[in-house]
Amino acid sequence: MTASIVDIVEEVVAADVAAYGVGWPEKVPPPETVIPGDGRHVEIPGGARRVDPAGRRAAVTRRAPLVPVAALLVVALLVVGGILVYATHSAAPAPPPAASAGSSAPTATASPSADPCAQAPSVAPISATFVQQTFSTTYVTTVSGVGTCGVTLQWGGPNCGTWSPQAAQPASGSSTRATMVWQHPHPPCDPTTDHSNVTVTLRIAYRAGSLLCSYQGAATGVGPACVKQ
Amino acid sequence: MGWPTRTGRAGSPADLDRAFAALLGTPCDQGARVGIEHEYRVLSRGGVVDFREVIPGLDLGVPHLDPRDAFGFRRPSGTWLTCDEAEAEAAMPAVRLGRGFGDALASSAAAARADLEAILGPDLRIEGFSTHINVSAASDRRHDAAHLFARTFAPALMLLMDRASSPGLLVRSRPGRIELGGEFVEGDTLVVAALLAAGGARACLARVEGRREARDLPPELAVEPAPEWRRYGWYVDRRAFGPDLYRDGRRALLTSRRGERLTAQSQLSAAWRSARRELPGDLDRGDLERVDASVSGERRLPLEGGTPALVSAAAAASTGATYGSAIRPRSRGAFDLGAVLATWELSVFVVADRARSRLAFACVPDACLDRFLALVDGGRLDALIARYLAAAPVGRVLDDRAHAQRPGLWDELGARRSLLQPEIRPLGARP
Repeated sequence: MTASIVDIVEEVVAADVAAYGVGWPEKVPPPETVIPGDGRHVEIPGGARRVDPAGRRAAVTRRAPLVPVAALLVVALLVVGGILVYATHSAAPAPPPAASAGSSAPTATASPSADPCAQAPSVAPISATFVQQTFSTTYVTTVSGVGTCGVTLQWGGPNCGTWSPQAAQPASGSSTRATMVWQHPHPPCDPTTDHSNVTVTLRIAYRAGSLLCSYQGAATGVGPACVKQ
Repeated sequence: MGWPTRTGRAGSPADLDRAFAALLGTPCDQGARVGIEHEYRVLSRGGVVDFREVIPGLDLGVPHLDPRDAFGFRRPSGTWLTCDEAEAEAAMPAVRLGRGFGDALASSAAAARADLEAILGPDLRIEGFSTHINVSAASDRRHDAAHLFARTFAPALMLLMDRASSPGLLVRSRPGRIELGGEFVEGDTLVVAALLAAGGARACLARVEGRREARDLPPELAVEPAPEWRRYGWYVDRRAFGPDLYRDGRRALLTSRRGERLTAQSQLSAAWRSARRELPGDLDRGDLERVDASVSGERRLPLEGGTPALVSAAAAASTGATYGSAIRPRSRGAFDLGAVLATWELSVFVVADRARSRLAFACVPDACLDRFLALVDGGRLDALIARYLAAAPVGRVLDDRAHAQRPGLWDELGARRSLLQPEIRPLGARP
């Protein structure tokens, strides 16, 4: 029995979909994280997992299987001598985890430690929302796991207009929502579209060190993961 | 068969690949083109229906011919039918800006609507939801041009497209194009909006590339478009310019970046003067006169209660036929051939010999698709492809965007995604 061209087309397409997925991953920003210098595993929403001993800022991307799917299909065709083999499906690696439309950027997580107050809190990347009507940007993040360890939050960065809070803020409890609002009308601020020359920062000081979250500019978006200082 | 198969000899896969590319010719500039996407809300007697739940059961052929689209199918007309969230979306093949543009654009949209209505049958109906006008823009500067469009031409396009109840305009930089998303428009209203959009986008490209002066564009307005979260680009709200543009219409008072006050009508007139200079000279006079009438006020805008003159779907018979033809399986003497990737930028065909002992893949950029299909159907590629299939494969894998820039024959196909231009990360965060 000889496979029809339609069968072959469907097999090639199905094998590609099984190996590489289908859809619009570009619609959702890919999960991205900063790996602390200790090379530990970082969990990514959706199940991807990666180790980066160099501690560099690394975009976690969909990894392509090494063997082209169509090559597997050709081998199968040659071996069976014209009978289409469905082994391609089983030989193909599992599809990569799909990025959830509702997923947010991952959080940097703490290493285990005997002293809970020496442990870095978990901090989500800064999320910024620009409101055109008021020419202001609101920066928000969530700091988790600080308990009663005397953690403080200090915003900084804006170079014009007004922003608040400017004083260090205490954080406590299981989860603290940290918010800063920067009003940057033109004038007094430069008439740039997004103030991309400004780095907004949030320093989270805890007993054994500090974490630094940053966000470039005043346009709406999500910043990189926070890093240990 | 006595075909030499060793690499480096005439008849090697590499040689045959080069011969194939030479026959198809170097992809050439296809000129300025405009493609329309229409989104429709699908309704049953019980209310709105999520088209994502409907389309898989419609038996529309081979799914996933574009690996970036989980729902899409190529229709025989060439239209790509898919979902945008819960809505049905019909993306029509791009139409060259030139003679017959207006008729081709409006009739292909009408044909796509009729096709969707026929597919859905009597129990479901559709109503227009939005229109996205895509203007070809290969330039690396299209991001800057799109941002400039949002600050200059946006209010003019919003007046020509939108209604009193519309929210605003999307201005996006997409791979190879600038996309402008507004209210659902059809018929001659679609043509009017498309001409202003095309000329405006081309004027902005010319400006950011240094081919036009600032005075050649309408005044730049004091507006900061909001970054968009779905795609790379911006959202221009109806109130982004200060007053409510859709409430005040042509009389709305806008402010330029230099602090001057000007009416939306004067911005519309300046925008059309600028856009018209960028349109090719062989456009039909009637198409241009429709825009003239809308701009001058002789013809009412949609938000003034104007209604479009609709066109017949029948006139669209040949528009986009190549894309519909490309997905039809073909049988030649020594081999069969079928599309395994069908996008606007690129098609890839699997070629199988009669014994099914050898596969190969033909990579065909969009600019060569017409010629490729003509050569296949005319039998002029029969010998060459048969020789390729007779040669032992040497592991040539089609798996890189650089490979996809020219026509070629390959032994294996890697990830189809790797052949396509990726989207740019959106500027804004999901609300």
